[in-house]
Amino acid sequence: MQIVKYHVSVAATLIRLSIQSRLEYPFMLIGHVLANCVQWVAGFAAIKFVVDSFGSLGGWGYESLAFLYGMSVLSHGLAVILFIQTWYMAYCVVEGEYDMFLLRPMGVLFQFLFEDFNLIGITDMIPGLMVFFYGCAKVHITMTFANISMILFALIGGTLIRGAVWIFCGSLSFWTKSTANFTDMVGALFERVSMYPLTIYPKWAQVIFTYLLPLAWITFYPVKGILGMEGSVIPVPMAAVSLGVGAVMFVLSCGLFRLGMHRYESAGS
Amino acid sequence: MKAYLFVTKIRIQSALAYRFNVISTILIQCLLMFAMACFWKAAYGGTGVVSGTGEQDMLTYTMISIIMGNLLTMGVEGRIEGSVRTGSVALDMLKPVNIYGIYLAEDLGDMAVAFFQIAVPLLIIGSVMFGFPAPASFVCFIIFLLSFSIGYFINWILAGLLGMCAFRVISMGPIRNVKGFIMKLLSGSVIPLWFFPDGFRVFLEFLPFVNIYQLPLGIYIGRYTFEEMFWRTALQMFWCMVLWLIFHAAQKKAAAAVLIQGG
Repeated sequence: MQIVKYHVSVAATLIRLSIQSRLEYPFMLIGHVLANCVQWVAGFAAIKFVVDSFGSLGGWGYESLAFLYGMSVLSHGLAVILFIQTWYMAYCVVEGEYDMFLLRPMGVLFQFLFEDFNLIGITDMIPGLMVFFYGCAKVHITMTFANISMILFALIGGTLIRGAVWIFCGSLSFWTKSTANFTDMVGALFERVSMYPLTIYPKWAQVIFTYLLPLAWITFYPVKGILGMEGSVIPVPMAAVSLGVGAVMFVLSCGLFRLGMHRYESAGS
Repeated sequence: MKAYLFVTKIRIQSALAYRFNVISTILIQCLLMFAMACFWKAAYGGTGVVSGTGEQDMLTYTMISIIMGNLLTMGVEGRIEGSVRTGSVALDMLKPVNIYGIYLAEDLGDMAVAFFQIAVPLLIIGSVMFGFPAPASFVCFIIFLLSFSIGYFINWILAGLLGMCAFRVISMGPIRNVKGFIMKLLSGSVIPLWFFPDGFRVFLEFLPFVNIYQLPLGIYIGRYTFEEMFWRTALQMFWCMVLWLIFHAAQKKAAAAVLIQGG
């Protein structure tokens, strides 16, 4: 209990400090609000125009696509708020940036994850919420307790899956000792798999993204479950599975990080 | 001229040094190409022609658009911002050459590298996956090359104009991204404008953006009649000239606003 309390207080302090430091540059924040609104609204407009011309996409109508898109932007925003520092893990490994954390009497990963609470990620949430509520209205979802908890499960699950993949890619640097950055590649993959229905891809790609690299659980399956698009073979709701997949992947990626930490050489100067 | 060619050569040599960047870029672009192709295939779903374009033409459009995207990467915005922030813009300006000429030469060097390192591999991989993206005819291909070149300059001047803002604001933050996202939608690089609602489309076709991607690509897949091509190219040249005049005027003003910091 004492330990939990201690961790919470440290996390709270770190979060407060990073929020303060981001607020030092208000124009940067405004710029990002603008950039993200343009990005997601333009992206969504493009999908709308195509669906208007063609009628549907991979068996999904415009309404469900709007909901899917909103869910994807929201979990992207959450992941960016919580895990943006993992984009620079490779750099930290090679430059010996973890020395500072190792000297302190606390878990390295815990410190690293809370060191940079990215307020700017909230700017993704604004267009995200806009598209999300628009989608909710379009699919006529009723805000029952069950639905709200399913949406929350799906968002948490999706955020954890994204974070886990980033930590996993970053941890590879412990072995490769290279600053190779996979953020762009992973980002492109996330966008393509989570914003469009998986059904537009060939069967083999669907299998990969369901079992091998379970990115389809970020939005596709939980949204399908929430919208009741087809009876699932498993008796548990899809969103709950998504949460489970996220939790397992996150724990595994943390394990890999710990394992990698043994090989850390503080190579910087 | 020799000086500019030298800069281009240096740029090619330094790009060749980063192998991982090349491999990861090719992978990402292949992924994008594959995803976009699946997107269009799913949208068409066997229906013949939608808004005047068939499925195979749309696949060609997408493949060539992604390849063009790699050739049209503009370093000039970041280059100006970086030079202003570090103060090295002072050194650039001391040299007995036009600094914008140097920036253009650098970008042309980058394009030469991207052509061999990224465009050619992408074309080969794309052809294997979805069939060779052949132009509608040889004449179309020649006009496409001309149209692409004019589009390149329009794109470069727009990037240069945005880059010049750095002389005033020092740090541009995410403004470059905003421009990127707007361009992506308005230029027809991802979704051609003929799928847009009519009123919006007509308005966009008069803006310069559409001349960067959609016009050359539309010519490539043979969407336009020769008469249409002529008028659209005339409009494209008009924009190129107007933007160049604006650029020319802005560059004089920008030089006066230079603030040298760092050292």
